[in-house]
Amino acid sequence: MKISRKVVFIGIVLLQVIFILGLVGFKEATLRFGKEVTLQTVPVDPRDLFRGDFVILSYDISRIRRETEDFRTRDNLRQGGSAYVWLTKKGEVWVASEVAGDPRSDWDVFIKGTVTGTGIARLVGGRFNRRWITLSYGIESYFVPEGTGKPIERARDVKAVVSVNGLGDAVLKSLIVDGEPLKLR
Amino acid sequence: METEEERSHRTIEKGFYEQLQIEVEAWREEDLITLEQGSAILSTYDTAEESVKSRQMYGRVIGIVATMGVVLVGTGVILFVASNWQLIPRFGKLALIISVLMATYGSGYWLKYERELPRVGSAIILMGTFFFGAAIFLIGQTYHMRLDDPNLLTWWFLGTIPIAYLTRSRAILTLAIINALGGLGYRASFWLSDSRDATTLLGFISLYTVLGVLVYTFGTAHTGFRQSAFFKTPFLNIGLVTAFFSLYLLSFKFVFDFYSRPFRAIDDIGLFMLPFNIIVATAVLALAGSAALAYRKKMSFSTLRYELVGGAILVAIAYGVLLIRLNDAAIYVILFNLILFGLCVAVIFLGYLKREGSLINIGLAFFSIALVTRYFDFGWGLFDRSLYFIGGGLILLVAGILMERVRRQLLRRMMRGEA
Repeated sequence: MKISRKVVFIGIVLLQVIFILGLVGFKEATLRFGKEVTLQTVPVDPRDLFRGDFVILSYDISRIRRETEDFRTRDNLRQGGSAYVWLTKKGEVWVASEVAGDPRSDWDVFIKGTVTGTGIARLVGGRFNRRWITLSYGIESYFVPEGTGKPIERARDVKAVVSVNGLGDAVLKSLIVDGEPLKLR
Repeated sequence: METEEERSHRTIEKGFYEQLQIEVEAWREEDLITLEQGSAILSTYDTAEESVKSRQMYGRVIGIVATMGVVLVGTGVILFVASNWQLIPRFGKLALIISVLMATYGSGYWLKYERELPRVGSAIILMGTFFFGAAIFLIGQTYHMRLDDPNLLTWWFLGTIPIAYLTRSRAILTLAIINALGGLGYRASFWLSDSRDATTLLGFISLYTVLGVLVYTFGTAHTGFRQSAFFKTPFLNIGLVTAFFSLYLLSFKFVFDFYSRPFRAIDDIGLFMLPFNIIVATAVLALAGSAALAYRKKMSFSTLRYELVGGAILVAIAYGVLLIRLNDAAIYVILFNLILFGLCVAVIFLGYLKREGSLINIGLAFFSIALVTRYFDFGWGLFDRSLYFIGGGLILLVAGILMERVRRQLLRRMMRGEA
């Protein structure tokens, strides 16, 4: 049976709408039902004309030293690939305790990231010249109304409140600037 | 009885028009008519060719005006919404996005297919695809997603490509291809994030050279099917421009100046090679597939063989540049400049053989750009500044005139079907 062009067109448009609803639904579900964690962060502020002001955030857990007393890595990580970081609470903030290519079953809270550096690429003379792993979690941008980014940049201490779901996907909820929740106009 | 308008736009055969011109000239010489009367007689008629051409040109103008209109409206709507975004509640934003999207697509389809206003309708559907992209980025902004998340452009590409084929829109197809290339570029930035800047640059150049070949090959594959041949042009043009631009970057000395000692980019490129190898393998398969398709469809290999060989050479260059020891910049600069100019000439020749004016234009454009760039590169320190600019300007003017004449000659001979 030949399907008319109109039906196919409507089908494609509906698929686009369903995709948009699905994307929003996924993010909303993470925000509402995910585990809320507070991460230590340092902001840097560029300007994007097209999308208003945003701040770039870098986290304590964005750069992890490979071997320390408190921290272990599993060596099945590759650059550009996924990695999972087990988070544990230390005082007000959550910190990285272990990172691996797959989440372990006994990890209660973990966050999924993309490996942006493993130290492997800088193999010179057969030795690693770096002992750091760098990761990106998709929560490195925080959008604010135009003109309100500078106070965040000038703050002494910025923490990010993030919602993490059972798969490790994270959505930024809000910022705590110098101990006070950031209020947007 | 004919109206004055009908009289002033009569169409006749070109051969008859040429004969009429000769007769009018003879009548004028015999003083049967004045010069003004002769001009008035000739201006009454259009040849069939001119009539079709002027209808086509009129149609193109409508398309361009309509497209400019929707781009301006679309940009204005996006900027307005973005600047007031924080004031709108979250679910209000969602309702606004979806209703604008559906209204745009719906009205575009209605105008194009129900009201038979194809150019305006196509332009509005194009605006709909822009709004889909805007929706993705605005939702990303609402949930604080990264700007450079490669998924955003990939999703935009996946949403627009079926619309492009269904509505037979080369403009939407062009947008989709650019989104795909942009999404891969953002993904590559993750693969190359651990490398030095110089290696990252070489990695991107190699990647986009291969992607250019891949996109171009998709274009040649489209010519194998009658229904899809319409879509070949965006693939051919974007593929060629992408590959040319990458090769153009390789013609600069600074790309190799970073390496003060013998060094191979592949030693610093980390795990970029794995996805790069996959893309190279895909390009090689696409070239082979294109040849197999042409053989199966009993298509002529007279021009395809040059395209396949050219594509294979470019892929080899893209791979080779990561393997070679980069310690003598002068040799590589000379080599890649020779390759670039050679490729420009080859593409012009190919465009002439295939009767594709766009290939000739792209080849000439990059030839000119490369020539001007080398003039600035090598001549900057040699002459007094004012003489340098005067000389450069004169060279450009003469080169521009010569190239325009060559381009017109080639296109004219192509139209006449001359070998």
